[in-house]
Amino acid sequence: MNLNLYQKPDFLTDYEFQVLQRTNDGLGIKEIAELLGKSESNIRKTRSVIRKKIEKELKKVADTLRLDTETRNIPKGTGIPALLIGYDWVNDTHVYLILTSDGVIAWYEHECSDKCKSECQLTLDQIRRERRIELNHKLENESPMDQFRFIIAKIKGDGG
Amino acid sequence: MNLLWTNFVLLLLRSKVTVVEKMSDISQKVKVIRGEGRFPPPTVRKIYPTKALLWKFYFTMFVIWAAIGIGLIFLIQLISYFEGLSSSSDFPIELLDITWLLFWVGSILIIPTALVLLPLYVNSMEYIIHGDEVVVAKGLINRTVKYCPFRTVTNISTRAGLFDRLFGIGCVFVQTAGKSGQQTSPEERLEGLRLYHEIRDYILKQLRAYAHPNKPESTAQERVLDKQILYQEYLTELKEIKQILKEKKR
Repeated sequence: MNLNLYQKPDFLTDYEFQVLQRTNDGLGIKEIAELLGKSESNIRKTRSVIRKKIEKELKKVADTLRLDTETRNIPKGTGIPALLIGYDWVNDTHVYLILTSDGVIAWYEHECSDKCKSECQLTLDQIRRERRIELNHKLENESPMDQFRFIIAKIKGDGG
Repeated sequence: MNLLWTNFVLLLLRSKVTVVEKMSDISQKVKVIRGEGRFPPPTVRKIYPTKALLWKFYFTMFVIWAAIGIGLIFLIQLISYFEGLSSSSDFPIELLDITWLLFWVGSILIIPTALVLLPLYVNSMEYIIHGDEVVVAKGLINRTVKYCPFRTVTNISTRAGLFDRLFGIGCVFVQTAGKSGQQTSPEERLEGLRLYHEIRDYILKQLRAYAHPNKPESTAQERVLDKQILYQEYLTELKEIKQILKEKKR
């Protein structure tokens, strides 16, 4: 779960956030347990609780935005706790809900126009920074939609 | 009259503010990136009923079973009571026992079968929205596939019955012209949908696109412009009301 949040989300406790940060630093369960002075089973349970809380938060946002997250032909983000893919029937497009330090970003899949390109690029840069995803030279000149697709593929590939 | 109109507008604005307040609670935690460009072109969409439809079927089955059971118990008690009162009666008491036994045998046979087959039936349901038709496929033993061309669609409506609302789902009914034979019910029924309002709007959008193929699809930018025009009209109206009230005060 490569989720480098610099700000604690409201729905996580301080301890859970500590465990999340240690996990993102690449530490194993044993090392985190030793560092925090807890048992391994406790760390495992806490990670499971974190996953469920993130999923619940994303689901709540999906319900608020009236997104379909159950239709079978939506590519599922199963096992990826900080990404939920939904479908907006009104706009007929996929919507990606991504957890970041500033809250949840609901990205509607769209072809960027000149008016929204800069804002979309800023958002993408924030997501890349927090997920530690590097774009190659070729992709940096591509449209935000292509960059976004690459980022999503990376997030799915890394398991969050 | 002007005061009434002012109150009406204020009421409208208050209701808008409530909606805006609720959305603003969400907006503090959620950043929505809709963009100003075009959404991808519409594709063939397959819609499946949610799992809640299965729970609704189970619940309905349980309610019917419980109603029959309670009804039978009540009937048996009632007959036994009247039999007890009457000294000479030809009513075969064994019939009640047989009825009760049949109820339980039926329950043991039907309920497990339904528990197994209902999930398969719900999984078999599929609704497809093409560019010019709605296709409803369902059925386990007899698989039925109904094609409903857009050119014959007359009405689209939604319905959420008592049990539907209990499980947060609803139905979209697509009615066509020229019902066949003795048919009185809507032609197509898309049931077990959580977002039935949105799917109804989606079908309506496809219908309009089919009816007016040359009309360009509105972009997010045009939708934003429409909203801006609406808010401008609100503002103009409010300014006029303010002017009228000022003149009245003088």
